[in-house]
Amino acid sequence: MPLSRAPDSVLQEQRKKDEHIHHKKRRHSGTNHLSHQNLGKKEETSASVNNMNDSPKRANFSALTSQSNGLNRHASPLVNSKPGTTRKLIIKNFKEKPKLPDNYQHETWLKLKEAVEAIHTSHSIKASLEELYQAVENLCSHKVSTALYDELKLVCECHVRSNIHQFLGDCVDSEQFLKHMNVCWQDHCRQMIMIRSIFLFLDRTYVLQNSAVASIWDMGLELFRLHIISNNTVQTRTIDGLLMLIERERNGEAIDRQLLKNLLRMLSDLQIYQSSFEKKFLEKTDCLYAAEGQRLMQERDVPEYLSHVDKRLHEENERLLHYLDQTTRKPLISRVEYQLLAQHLSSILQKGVEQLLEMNKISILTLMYQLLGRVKDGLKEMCFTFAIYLKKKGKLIVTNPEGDIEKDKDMVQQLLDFKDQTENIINTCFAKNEKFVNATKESFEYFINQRQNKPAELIAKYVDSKLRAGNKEATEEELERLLDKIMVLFRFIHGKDVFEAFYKKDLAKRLLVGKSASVDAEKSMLSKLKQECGGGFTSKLEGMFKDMELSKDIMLAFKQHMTSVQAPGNIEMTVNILTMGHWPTYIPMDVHIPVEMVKFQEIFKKFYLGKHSGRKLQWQSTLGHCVLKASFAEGKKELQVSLFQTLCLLMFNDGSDFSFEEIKQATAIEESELRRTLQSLACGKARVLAKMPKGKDVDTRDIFRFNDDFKHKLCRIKINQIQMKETPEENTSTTERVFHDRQYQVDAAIVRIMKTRKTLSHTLLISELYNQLKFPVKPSDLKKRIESLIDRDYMERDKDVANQYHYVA
Amino acid sequence: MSTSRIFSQYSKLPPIRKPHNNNDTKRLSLECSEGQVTALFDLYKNDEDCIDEEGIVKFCNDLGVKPDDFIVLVLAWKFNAELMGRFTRTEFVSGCKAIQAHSIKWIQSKFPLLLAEVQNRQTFKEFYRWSYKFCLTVEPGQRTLSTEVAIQMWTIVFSQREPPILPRWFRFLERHESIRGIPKDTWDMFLPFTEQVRLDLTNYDESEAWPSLLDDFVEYESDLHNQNVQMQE
Repeated sequence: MPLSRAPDSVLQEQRKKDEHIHHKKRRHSGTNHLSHQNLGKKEETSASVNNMNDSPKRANFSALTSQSNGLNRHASPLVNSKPGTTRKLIIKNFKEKPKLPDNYQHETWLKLKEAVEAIHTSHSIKASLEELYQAVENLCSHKVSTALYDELKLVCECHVRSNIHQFLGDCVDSEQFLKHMNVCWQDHCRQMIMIRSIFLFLDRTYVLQNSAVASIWDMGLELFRLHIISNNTVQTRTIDGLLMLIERERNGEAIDRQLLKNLLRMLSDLQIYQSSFEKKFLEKTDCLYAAEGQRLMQERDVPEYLSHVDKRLHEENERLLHYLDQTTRKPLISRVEYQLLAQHLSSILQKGVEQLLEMNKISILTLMYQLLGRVKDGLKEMCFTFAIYLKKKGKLIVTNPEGDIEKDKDMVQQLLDFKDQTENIINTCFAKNEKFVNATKESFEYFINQRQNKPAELIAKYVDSKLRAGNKEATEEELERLLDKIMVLFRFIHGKDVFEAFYKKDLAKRLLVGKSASVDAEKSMLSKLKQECGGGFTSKLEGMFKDMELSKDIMLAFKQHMTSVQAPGNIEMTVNILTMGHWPTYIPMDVHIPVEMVKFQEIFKKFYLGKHSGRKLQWQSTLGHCVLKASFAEGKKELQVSLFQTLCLLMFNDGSDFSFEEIKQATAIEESELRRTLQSLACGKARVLAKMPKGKDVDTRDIFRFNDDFKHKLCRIKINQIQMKETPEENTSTTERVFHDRQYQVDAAIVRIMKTRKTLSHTLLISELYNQLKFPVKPSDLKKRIESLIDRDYMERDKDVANQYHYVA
Repeated sequence: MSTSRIFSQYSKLPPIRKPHNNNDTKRLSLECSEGQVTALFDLYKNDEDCIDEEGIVKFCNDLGVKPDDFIVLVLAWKFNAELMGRFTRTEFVSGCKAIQAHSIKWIQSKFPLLLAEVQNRQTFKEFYRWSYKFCLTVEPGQRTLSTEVAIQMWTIVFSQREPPILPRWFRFLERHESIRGIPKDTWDMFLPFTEQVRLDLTNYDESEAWPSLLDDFVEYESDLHNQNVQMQE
């Protein structure tokens, strides 16, 4: 039979063997009509392909393609597409049509039907599959495809319909039912695949050419959907069974995931997954997790709850991986997130954030960040709560509500630790989220300014303690890093002038008493300040360093000068020349200085003014220090003491006992200062004086005596730490000076503004002032300054418009 | 045309007063000669050619008023007196001329007119502002009025028409000894304060340009008020 070969192989061989072209022509003629039909459809495409593949190898064929009856590789939809090869065949029909036996169609169909039924009943097929396939092919070739398809459909329908009965019985439990269903479905699929293989030719020709006709496979699905799953009872039982299985799994039971997967695949294949299963499944999910969320929020604490949520999300993902359709991913996960997280967002945050941050629970915080990042506004809210916590905790550190002085001392260290901890959490838990970083900055700025002035003062003192000599706890790099951290805190401070005042005061002491740990560290801090606040802020501080350097030069010259002058007594003197504006203001204290020293001062004064005429020298005794040689019973010692201490001690060269009053008279040191001085000499660690009566505090009636029995393991003893200590008076005067300076600054700003504007309303003036002033100031204080300026005739109020001011030239 | 329009404005001038009034003024202006005023001044002046406190007491007695009467202050304002308790010759003479009076009787007859004049809001404002300076110069070089003097002065200035807030204001000032003086600006602003701010102080806005002393006053008052409310509860 010439009909025995499939057309695709014909075409392939055509390309290979030109010499057998006649033979092939003959063989091909059986499927002639088919090829022609398709040729018509594809002509355009092939032409373009030809043009594109205009290679020399195929030059012979280009002539042929111009003829209308061309054949090429695109001719049949059954041909595998291989680019490039096009050939022209001329096919001639038989002169006489071959005839078929009259009952051929009927008999062939019977044979096929028998095979189909055998498949349906799982019996062996009598005929060979090859034979059956050819039968189908032949029938199709004889234009009975439609009838064949319809007959096949009828047989299949009959079979599928008969299958419904096993599902209508009501005694089986639901899992059993599902298993039945699965078996039925698997059988159905297997059978349909078998049938399709036999009827492949029908599927590939007739079905493909008629878009209205479903493929054999689809027809099988349609039948299954129509006759089995569309049955209400069956569908409900299936879906309920599936949902129950899932629920059991969610409750922790192990279930047959393969069964679930198969059946859900079935639903997907039948295209009822979404409509009949997914909707109900999601509803169930909602219900379950709504209830679970409510319950667990009550029962568990936040870390437990969060890990549970994490576990649940993981499980649901597993479900998606193992049996659920991928389209369910988004709605399912978002529902779980909504019910377990979004619904309880505020309680999670309220109950959890503060506690977790307080305990520095890195892992749980990380989890919380990850989970809340999944829900809408989750991170926003979390960041908000985070900021509230920072503000609350920070405010507590800064404001020190109990007024505990010891706590104030720790404030800066606490703040630094707090900052470190917060940064650590943001870096490790919050993925360095910008939002959290900014919230931290904003919160720190907020709470550090909740208390006026004190934080700035304490930061300055903290820096002082780190820059002082004898601070051996840090290497240079560590110190540098610490200073950087402090600068971060400093940046948040609004009233930087307070910092400057205290910093300057302490710096002056470090420089003058020679207690600065390292010039490099000092310079580094200075450059940091300059970078942060500009040169205006540090110009005076720089001036102080310059003064110190200049003083060194001057002292060199002075020493040289001294060689030509007779020195009074056996004294060496070092003088530091301080430019007045650069240094803190010291109230000059006139004390009685020994004659030799006064002489020395005179010599220096003459020397200095000789070099720089027109300058005025004023001696500041508060920060002077001396080294004294003392002879005790134990031996000679060198005492490093302040000038005031010196004055007291020198008295004991002329006598052994002096009363407080006597010392006061002789030295003219101010009483509270003297009290401190004597205390340091008689009640401190190194007691070079003995006090009668003994005691910690100095009374005005006390008597002091040179302590000849004084013993100390060192030869050179420092007793002048007292100079480095800040007295309460110093503290208040420094603060007050800042406030005074602020007043001047406000006044200057008001006058400056009024001078440019001439006339300005009160509100505009105030707002402009706030723009210009760099320290915190209350509106009522500004008002007072304005009033003061009106009173001093720098400006006046408009006679009629009370809200308006005029500049008075 | 234009000239006629200019002239036509004359017709809009207020009509001349009634005949007998007119006669009075005429006679007054005739009789209010410098000589008579000088004679009146000489009656009260002291050796330094001005009327000192003693003279003023006498002058007031003759006028039938007390020296701390409101009208005396108005008179001083009209005389443009620079110092309290003193009239210089020029002040007295030009002042008498200004009110067109040359004798005690005449001055007395002007009292209603003067009182009516300070009833006017604008005039009162001028008078009010002047009164601060008038008090100041008791000690030369003084710039700020002491609270005590200010309170006395306010009492006199407002004696004709006392603002309801005044007693509370005084109570506030008396209870706060730290308030040493009243600056001129605060004095000036107190008048609009009495005019503009409601008695319950609810429409007071401290972000406006009120002097800080008034801010403090309002804060004090509202604190008091709140305490009262709490005590009642």
